[in-house]
Order: sequence, then structure tokens, then C-alpha cells
Amino acid sequence: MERSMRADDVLVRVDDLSVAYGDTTVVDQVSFEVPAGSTTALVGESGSGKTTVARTLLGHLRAGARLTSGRVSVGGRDVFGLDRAGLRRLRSTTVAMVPQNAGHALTPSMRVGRQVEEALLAAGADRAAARERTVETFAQVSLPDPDRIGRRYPHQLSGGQQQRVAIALAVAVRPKVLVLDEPTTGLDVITQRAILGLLRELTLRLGTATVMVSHDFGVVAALADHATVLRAGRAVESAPAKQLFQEPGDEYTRELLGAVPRIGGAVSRNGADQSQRGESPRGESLLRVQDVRIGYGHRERDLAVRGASFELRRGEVVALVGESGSGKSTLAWSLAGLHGPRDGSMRYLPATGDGDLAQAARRRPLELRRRIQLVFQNADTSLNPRRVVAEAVRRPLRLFRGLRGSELAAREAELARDVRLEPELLRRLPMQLSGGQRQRVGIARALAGSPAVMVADEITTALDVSVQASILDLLEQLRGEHDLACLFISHDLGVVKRIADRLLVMHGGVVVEEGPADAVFDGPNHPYTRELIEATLEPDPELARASVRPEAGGDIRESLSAGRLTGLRHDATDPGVGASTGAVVWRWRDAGPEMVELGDGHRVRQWELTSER
Amino acid sequence: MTLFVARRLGAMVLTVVLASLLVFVALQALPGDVATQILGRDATPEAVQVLRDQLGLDQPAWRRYLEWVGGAIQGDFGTSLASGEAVGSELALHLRNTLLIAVLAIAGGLLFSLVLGVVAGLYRDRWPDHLISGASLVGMSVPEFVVATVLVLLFSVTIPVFPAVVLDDADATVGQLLPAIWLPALALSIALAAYVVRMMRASVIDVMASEYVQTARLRGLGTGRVVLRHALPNAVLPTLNVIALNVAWLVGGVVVVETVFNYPGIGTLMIDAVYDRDLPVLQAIAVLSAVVYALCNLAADVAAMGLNPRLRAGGRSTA
Repeated sequence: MERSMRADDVLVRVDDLSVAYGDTTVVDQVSFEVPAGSTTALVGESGSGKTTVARTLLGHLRAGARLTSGRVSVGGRDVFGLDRAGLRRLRSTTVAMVPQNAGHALTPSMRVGRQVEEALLAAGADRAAARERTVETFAQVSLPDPDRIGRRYPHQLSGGQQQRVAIALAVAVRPKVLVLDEPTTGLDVITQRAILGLLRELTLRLGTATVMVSHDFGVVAALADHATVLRAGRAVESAPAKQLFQEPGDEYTRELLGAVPRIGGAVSRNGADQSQRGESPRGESLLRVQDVRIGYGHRERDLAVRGASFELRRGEVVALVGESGSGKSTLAWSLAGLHGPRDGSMRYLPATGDGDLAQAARRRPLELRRRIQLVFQNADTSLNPRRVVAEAVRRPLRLFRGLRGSELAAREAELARDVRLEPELLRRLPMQLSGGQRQRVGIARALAGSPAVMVADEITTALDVSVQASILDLLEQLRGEHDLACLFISHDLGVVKRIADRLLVMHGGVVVEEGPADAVFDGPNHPYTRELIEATLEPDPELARASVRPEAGGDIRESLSAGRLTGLRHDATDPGVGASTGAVVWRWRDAGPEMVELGDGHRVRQWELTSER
Repeated sequence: MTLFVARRLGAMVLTVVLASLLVFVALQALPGDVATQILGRDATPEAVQVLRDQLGLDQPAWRRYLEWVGGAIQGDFGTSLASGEAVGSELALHLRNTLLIAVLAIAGGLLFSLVLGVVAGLYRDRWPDHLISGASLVGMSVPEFVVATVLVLLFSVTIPVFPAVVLDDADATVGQLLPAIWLPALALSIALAAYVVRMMRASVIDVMASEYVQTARLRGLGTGRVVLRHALPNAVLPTLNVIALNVAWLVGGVVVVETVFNYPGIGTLMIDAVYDRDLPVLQAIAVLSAVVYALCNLAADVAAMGLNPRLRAGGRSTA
């Protein structure tokens, strides 16, 4: 960062800021500056105080929190010295925030255009100008049909579109300072890439001083020029982004960066079976799913899964990846017996009976029921808040094993040790445990029935990176100790890379590519898989920035001719022959149901090219 | 939306028909013979037989029901056994009188309770909230006849502004009734408001803590705007069903309140009809209250659609 900058270029100056909540200090003497045209990231795990710091730029403190020392100045004004009217003026004109979850942050009962107009009116625009600027801003954030999309309500937009509206809301008033509060956390990687590209372009063009809050080092790498790492309210390290990622100075930063799962570089997957990857099947087949279709209604378009087939073998981790809405969770819930499939077959093969998994969990024979166990994404909402967590572990022990008394207690303690949890912690209520501990309880509950198959539905999504890493280690160990097969559902390819033997990539309710994890990561053959892998952000500023550049991803036909993609339907003629490229965008379209075999269980669903102007 | 309302209206007709059937059957099941009841125990068997013929009591029950329904559709609810007048016109007159106080009670009560609920929610755990919540708890726990009596004590006896009882008959003009409607309306609206205030308070607290209200504030919008445009429409939603139930409850509430004030409305008519075993009148009133219940719920659903775009057809319903 050049030091030649004039002092008045510094738009945000946080000086020795401390905030206490009751008697607890949640922010402890944090200082940083953000000049115009630059982006500073506040990185840290939950509870680090990063959001609290960011929100002070808007003069906002949670109810019950108070400033104990320091000063926050924005555009030269002391934020906490402003009166109510001054604070309102600051928020409506100078500082704007892009909230974490636009789906919750947009008022559901108001048309999105009205919400933007309202922000402009509050900033002093007249009605006609506000209307005009709204459409202009919608175009600027690349919303489709900017003239008319303002008539929609938030629920009529996709998650990515909602986030674009939230960005439009923030930038419409041309603020000097932009606060991005985990701006892409709820989005899938492909949408995330588009949103980050947009934010990068906008912050550069508008020259805002930007403060972003994130727990995701990939996102930080993509946007930030400078980063401050927070831990328990203290800034442990503050450095230019490049330096922070390449030579982290602080032990904690190194630890965090080390815990980030990556796609590229060394495979951090432990275990001796690494050599066995890609080799022929190791264990017997446990689960066979064939042409399963699952829907939430009776019409064809209500189908969430439109024909999935796969097998799961003993001791194997198969990852089911895909963006939200791809049908992966539906498939998991169906296997667990929570939502029956419409047709196709799902079988647990070693069963004594017919092992039919198409029936609801409560209809399955007890023996079959215990064999397949689901671990929920949200350990905090899936545990009864009024019962000690031991109850959750005891129930399956009583039900499946008929254990009572001292036997029950012994097995319960054993399970706690299995998931590396102090047995005393089982006497607590869910809210008295940390997120990682709760998830361990969830896993212990699933293990209580000694299952053969564990279905893990996004079990690390809500966790901090360091906790996530420890849960992944645990899964890895359990797989060895209990010879568990695991269907691991995730949208995070970094995590998947770390743990999976095989990969199933889902899109629009069908499996578009499957194969040994290494083969798929090294040579993704379906355009969607390629897109997913490319959109995954690495904790490296250069790679991440390249990934969010608008031209990233490249031309699908170029990849095709370079032999990087297969599965183009053999009789499909290239509609681009003779057509001039340039304004034409090439996209893929599903042409299944045939799969192209690439050997070693690596298969790609057929697709074809379409052009879009 | 139109389709939805049409479907609901259809369902409503069905509900009302079922209700009327139920009422009819229940009244048939009452012990005793109507003709004997009317003529008294000393009547000669001949006289009773003549009346039975007149009333058609010898015909099978289903036939009498169908005839009654056929008449009711055309506005003919039969003849009152007590007064000998057409039930339809008598009912219309009393209904008009009840609507005078009911509409006033609903409009006033709702406005009053929504405002108080919002204030209580916004000033959660501070003195305006304590005051309003306390008062609404009292309003809920004290029966409406006590409220009515206290109102009479205050505004008729201590400060004689309004009449304590109504001396007019049902056919009095609106002008004649006008001074008498205020106290009954007030008594009703207090009972109505108590529940709505508490529900609204809880709902406002929820919505004010929501992310969209928080971000609207962080966008620098004024408090008035945030409350009216962002919070209120969403806070009213969960309250709508409570409002509908309470408005429908008024049908029962008016009986008590009208009796206290001797107000010539549906409630008084019903009490008299019960005393007189005036079955045609009772039947008509029962069907009327079924209609009111169904209409209130329909109105609540339509209002919910107006406030919540997610319930309106046309848009994608996914997150």
C-alpha cells in the first residue's frame, strides 16, 4: 500500500475501538484505516467481533453493547458523536451496507424497486430521479430486465438476484463507504463468483472505501487489498492481503489458513488408503440407487431429483456436490426415509429382508432403520433445546439396542469418546455447547445404532474453518474405526476434495458427472463440473482474483476443442459452425440420460451446446 | 386471487349449509312438542293438532328442512312463533341495530388495539408497554358485563352523558338509537381489543427484531417510515386470525352486552327467542352467526393475501 496517499483520502478511521457487552469485552482496541478505492477485510471465526466492528461504521451497536474506548470516524465525522438526524444522514448518504442474507434483509411485503427508490428518497433525491436511478442501478448490478424487475417482490427472485438487489440498495445512493457483511455466505459457488466479480468491479469503479467482513479466506482473497485478522475481539494481524496469504506472520493466522480446505496443491487427505483411490472397488456394495425420481408435488416440474443412480460401498466416502436446488439434500433425505421417492429403486443390499429404502423410516424394519443414519446440517436446531444432549444419544441406544441402566451409560460414554467429546459434556443442554461440540453430538447420535451408512447433509457448512477441519478429521477416523460408508453432501469442493473417494456431481436433479475424486478434480469433463471447480475460491489472492474476473470460465467451445470436455452428444451438430463468435455466449444444455464412460467408473452425462446472444 | 376467493366462497356456502343442518337437527332433538309448548299444558288435544297441522309438524323432518332452506334462500325464514311476524324482517331490523354497535366496536376497537399493540411492541419492557399490557390483561380477565356495568356507572351515573339503558323498540330510527350505541360499542371494543393488543405486541417485537427491519434502519430511514412501511404490514399478518376470531366472537359478546343495556339488537332478540322457544328465530340467528364466522375468516384470508405477496398467485414460490 502506497504511503503517498493524502491524509484526507482516508475515509474510514477506526482508532483504538473497544466495545463491551455487559461486562464482556467483545472488541478490544481495534484500529485500522481504509482509504478511498481500497478494500479492507475483517477476517475471523464466529465470535471474533468482526461484524460488531463493521457495524460501528454505521453507528450501530447491538442492544446492550456499549463503546468503552476509541473513535470511529467516517468521512471525517465521528460516528458516535452524531445526533439522531446526523446518524440518519450518515447512513442514508455516506455509508451503506450489503447484508449477509439478502433473502432475510429485504422487506418481504415491498416490491424491490420501491425499496431502492425509498433509499434514494431518503438520500434526498426527488421521485422522478429516484425512479430513473433505480432502473440504472439494477442495470449496473446486472439484473435481468432492469426496467421491470423492480415490480417484483423479494420472494420472486433467486438467491443471487436477491443479493444483487441488496447490492443495488447499497450502491444506488453512491456511498463513499461500503460495508460488506459476509456478502456471499448464503450463495452457491457459481453465484458467489458472479457476485464477487460484480462487487470488485463496483468498488473499483465507484472508488468506495470498502470494509468487508468474512470468515471465508477465499472470498477475502478475491476482494481484499488489506486484511485484519480478528480473534476474540483483538486484531492479531493486519497486513496487505498478498502478504497475509503468502507469509502469515501470526501463529493463529497460519493455523486458520492451514485449516482451509483447498482444491489445488497438496492433497491434505490423510490415511493409508490414498494409494487405493481410483482403484477397483474395495468393499462390498451397501447401497444401490437406481433411476430414482423424487418430487414435492405431482407435476413433472415439481421433481427435485429426476433420475439418479449410484452405488455406495463399505468404507467409502462418496460426496454429492452441486449448487442449492440441485436435488442433493432431497436425495439424502429420501435415503434416510424422510421423504419417499416417486419411482426408481433404493436398496440396502446386505439386508436380510428386501432392504427397500423407498419406504418411510417408520415403516422400515428396525434392523434396516439403524443401518442408515442421517446427520443433520444444523446441529443446533436438530437437537431438542430443553433436553440434555445425552437424551439424543440414548434414544437410539434404547430403541435399536434395547440397552438399559449401566449398559446404557457405558455405551453412551463410549460413543462420546468415539466422537472425541468429554462424556461430561453430554449432561449439558444444546445451547451450552459450541457449534462443533453440537455437531459431534449429532454424529454420536447417528453412530449409536452402529450404522453401515451415514448420510451427512452439509454437516460442516455452519462451522468455522478450524472446527470444520476437526470434524472432517473425525469423520476420517470414524470411517476407519467403524468401516462406515458415508454419503457426504456438500457444496464446498474444498471440503469434498479433502474427504471423498468418489464424487457425484448433481445439477438440476440429475447426476451430470461421477467418478473417483482425483479423476474428477484433475479432469472435470462436464461443463458444469468444470464451472463448479473453477468457481471455487482458493485462499490465494492471485488465483481467487482471476477466478472472479468477468471473463473467467472461458469459452465452452474452446474447452471442448482443447479436449478438456467430453460428453457432447455424438450426433449433436455444433450450432456454431459458420456463426461469428463475439456477442454470442455458448452454454451447455442437458442431453441425457445416456452417460459417456471414461473408464474406472468415471462417467459423464451427455450434453449439447446452445447459443445465447 | 379471484379463483381463491371463489373457492373459499364455495366452501363458505357448504359450511353454512352444514351449520344450518346441524342447528335444525339439534332443535328437532329438543324434548317436548312445539305445539304443546306454545299452547300450554292445558290445551285441548284438538287445538294442539290444529296447530301441528299449521306448523307442518306432522311432515317428515327432512321435508321441513328442505322447505325451510328453500324459503331461507328467498329471505323467508318463516314466521315467529312468539310475535307472529315474519322472522326475516324482524331479524333484519335487529341486525341493523346490532351492526350499528358492532361496526363501531370493530372499527374503533381494531384501530385502537393495533395502535396500542404497536406502541407496546416498540416500547417493549418500558413504561408504555407495562401500562398497555397490564390494561389489556385486565380487559381480558374482566367479563364484558362487568365492563359494561362499570361503563354505565361512569358515563351514565357519575357523569350522565349516555343513557344507561335503551328504552326504544327495535324499529326505532337510527337517529333515535344514536345516543345509545356508544356505551355498548365501547364495552365490546374493550373486550375485542384486549386479545388483539397482546397478539400485536408480540408480533411487532418479532418483526422489529427481523433482519429486514434492522437493515432498513441501517439504511438511514426514519423510524416512522421503518415502522409503517417495513414492519407494520408484516406484523399484522400473524394477528389477522386472532382479529377474525375475535370479530366473530362479537356475535356471542353482543348477547351479553345488549342485554345489559337492553339494546334492541340480535342479542336481545336471541335471548327473547330462547325464552319463548321461538324456533324459527333461533334457527335464523344460528345460521346468521355461521355466516358471520365464515365471512370473518374469509376476510382475514383475503387481507392476508393483500399484505403478503407470497400468498398471491403469479410469482415463483421458491425461496
